Amino acid sequence: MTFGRLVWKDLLRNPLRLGLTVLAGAVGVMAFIFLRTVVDLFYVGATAAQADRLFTRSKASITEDLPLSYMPRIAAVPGVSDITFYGFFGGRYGESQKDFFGSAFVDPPSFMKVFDEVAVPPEQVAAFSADPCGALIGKDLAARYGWKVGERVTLKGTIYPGDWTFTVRGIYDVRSGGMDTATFFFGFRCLNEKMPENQRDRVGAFMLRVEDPSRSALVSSTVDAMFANSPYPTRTESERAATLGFISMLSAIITAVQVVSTVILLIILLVIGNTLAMSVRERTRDLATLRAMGFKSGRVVMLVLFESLVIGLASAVLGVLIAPPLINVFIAAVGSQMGGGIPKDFMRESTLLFGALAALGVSLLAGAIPAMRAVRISVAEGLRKVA
Amino acid sequence: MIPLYYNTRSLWARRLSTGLTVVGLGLVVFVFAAVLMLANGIESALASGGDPRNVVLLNEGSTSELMSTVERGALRALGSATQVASSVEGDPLVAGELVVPVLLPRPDGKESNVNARGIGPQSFAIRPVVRLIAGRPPRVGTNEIALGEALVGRSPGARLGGELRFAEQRWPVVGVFSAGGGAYESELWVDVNRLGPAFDRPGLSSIVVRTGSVQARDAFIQAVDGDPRFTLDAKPEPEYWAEQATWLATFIRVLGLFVSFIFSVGAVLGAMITMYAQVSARITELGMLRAVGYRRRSVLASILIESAVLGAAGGVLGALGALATRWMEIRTLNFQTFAEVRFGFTPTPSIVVAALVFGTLMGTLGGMLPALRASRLSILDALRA
Repeated sequence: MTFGRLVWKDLLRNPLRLGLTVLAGAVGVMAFIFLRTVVDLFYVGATAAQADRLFTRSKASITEDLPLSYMPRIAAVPGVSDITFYGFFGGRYGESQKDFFGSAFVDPPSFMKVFDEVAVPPEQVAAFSADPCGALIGKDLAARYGWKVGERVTLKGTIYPGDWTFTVRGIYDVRSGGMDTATFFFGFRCLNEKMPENQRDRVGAFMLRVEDPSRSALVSSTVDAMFANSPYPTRTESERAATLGFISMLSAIITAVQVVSTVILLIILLVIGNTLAMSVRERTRDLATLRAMGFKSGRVVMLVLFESLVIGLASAVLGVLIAPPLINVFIAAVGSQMGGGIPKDFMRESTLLFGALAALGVSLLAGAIPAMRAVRISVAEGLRKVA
Repeated sequence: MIPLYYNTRSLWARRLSTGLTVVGLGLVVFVFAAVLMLANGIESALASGGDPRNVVLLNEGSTSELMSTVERGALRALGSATQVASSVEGDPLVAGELVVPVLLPRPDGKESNVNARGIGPQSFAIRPVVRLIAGRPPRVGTNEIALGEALVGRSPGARLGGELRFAEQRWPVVGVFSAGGGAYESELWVDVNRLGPAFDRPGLSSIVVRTGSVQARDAFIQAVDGDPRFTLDAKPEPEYWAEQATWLATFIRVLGLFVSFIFSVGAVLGAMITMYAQVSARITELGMLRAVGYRRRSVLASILIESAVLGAAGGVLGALGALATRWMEIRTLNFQTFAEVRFGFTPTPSIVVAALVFGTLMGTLGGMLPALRASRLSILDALRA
C-alpha cells in the first residue's frame, strides 16, 4: 500500500466525520474570507485613489466651506493641470435610512475632466453641462430606483433647506478604481443661484490634477502657503492620504473585524484538531501496528499531518467556492444601508488566496498535537490498547 | 430517565474532546454576545447624554446638528414659551448652540474628528448630567474650553491647563466635564460667540430647550410644530441622540449577527462531530442501557441533554468571556455626527440570557442527529459491537 493510499484509507475510516469536519472547516474559511473582504471594503477607496489627484479642503474642519474665488488662484499654481470642486449636499430621498445615498454638487465640465474614470456617453455629458439643474447619477442608483434619463427627482435638503428638483441628464459608470456608482451629482449653478447673497459661491473642496505626481508634495505646500494667512486656510493632500486619514478614524471597527477573523482561525483550529485527536485516539492500535511493522515515528507523524492537510485543503477549496456568492448576498442585503457606495470589484483574489493559505496553515497546526500523541505512546502499550 | 450523572461522567471521561468543543462553542457565543454588547454600548453611549425634559430643535429636514442651520432669531421667541423652565436667576433655560467638527492631532500622529460645541450661558444648566469634574466652566467671551472627559489625553494639550489649536487660534483648556457616559463626553465646549466667528458661521446648529416636565416637553413640541413662525423640527433630546447611533449600531449588529450565524453553523457541526464520536464510542454502553429497560426515547433524551450541557457550557464560557470585555473601550468615527465617539461593551441581562440560550441551542442542534442514531440502535447489534 502506498503512503497516499494509506492516508486516503485512514481519512475514509469515518466518512461522516470527515464530511462534517470539512464542512465546518469550509464554514470557517468562508467566514474568514468574508471578514477580510469587509476590511478590504474600508480600504477600497484608498487603494483606488489616483496618485496625481490632490484634494484641497479647509484646514479647520471638514464641514467648513471654501470660497469659490480660490479656484483660479489654485489653478494658476505651477504644476496644476486641471481643477474642479465639489460640495456635499446630503439631500434626502424618502424618509427611511435605506433611502440614503450620497449627493454632491459639482461643476460639470471640469468635473468630467478631473474625474476621467467616470464614463458617460458624450451627449449625456453635454446635456448635464447645459442644464443648470441637471443631475448625473450612478448606474447602481439608477437601477435601484428605476430612474431614466429625463426623469425628474426631488431631494429634500438637510444642509440646504427646501425641496430641490433635478432632471436626470446622464447615468455614469466607472471605468476603473474604487469610485462608487451610487452617487447623485448635480450642477452647482442650481444650488448657488438659490442661495442667499452671503452664502453664495462656497464650495466644499477642490480637486486638482497635477502634471507630475512626483511633485505633488510641492504643489500641495504651495497651495496651502498661499492661503495660510487668509480667513480660510487650506489643507492639500493626495486623494490617497485624505482617504487613509479618514479610515484611520475608523480603525477601532477595522481592528474589531480583524480580531474576529483571528477568532475564526482559532475555531477552525479547534474543530480540525478535535477531529484528528479523536481519530488518532481511535486508531492508537493501528498506528502502533504500523510502527511495529517498522514505520519510523516520522512517517507516522507525516501520516497524521497529511490527513490534516487534506482536510484543510478540502475546507479551503470549499470555502473559497462558497464565499463569493455569500458575500454578494450580504452586500445586496446591507449595501443600500451603507449608502450604496460599494464598488463592483470589492472581492479580491488575494483575499481568497490568503483565506485558503490561512486554512492550510491552521490545519497543519491542528494536526501537530494529535501527531505527537500518536508517536509518544510506546508500541507495546499501543498494541495492548483496546480503542 | 437516564440519570444526568451518566452524561456528565461521559463528558468528563473525554475531557480533551469535550474541552475543545466547549471552547469552540464558547468562542462563537463570545462573538455573538460581544457584538450585541457593542451595539448596545454605542446606543447607550449616545442616548445616555439626553435628558427627557430637554428638547433639541433643528432646522426642518435636518437629521443632525452637523447639517442644521438655525437662525438666531428663533432663540428669543422660543425662550418666551410657557413650558420652558427657568434658571435660578430667572432666565429661560434656552441655549443656541453651534457644532463644528474640528480635526485634532492624535498622539499616534494621526488625526481624529472631534465635535466642538459652541455653548450659550445656559448650556450647562440645561444639562444636569454634564458636571465639571475639574477646573471651571469657560468664561463668556473668551476662547476657554471645557473638555469632555473622553478627550483628555487624546491630543497633545488636551488636558486641564493645556491648550488646543484649531481655526488658527489658541484655545486654553480650563475645565473637564463628565456627562454620564453620554456623547457630550467626546466633545469640547466653548463659547458659541467665539466659535462662530472662528469658523465664520453666523448661524446656529441647534437650539436646546429645557422644559419643566415631560408633559410640558410634549406640549412644547406640539406648540413648536403648530407655530407657523418656526420651520424647526423639535425632538426630545434622548430621541435625537438615539437616532445619531442608528447607523453605527446597525452596521455592528448586521455584520456581527451575520458572522455569528455563519459561525454557529460551524459550531453546530463541531458539536455534531463530538456527539457522533461520543455515541459511536459508547455503542455497547447504550445497548446495555436499552437491555436493562431504558426506552429509545430515554436514550434520545439522554444524548440530547448531554449535547445541550455541552452547548450550555460553551454558552457560559462565551458569556463570561464577553463580560470580561467590559473594561475595554472603543473609539471610532460615527458617520452621523461625523465625530469620534467613545463607547464600551455594555451587557444587559437579556444579552447574557440570549448568549446562554444561543450556546445551548447550538449544542442541542448538534446533538440531534447523533441522538437519533443512538436511539435507533437495535439492542442486539449494540451489545455485539
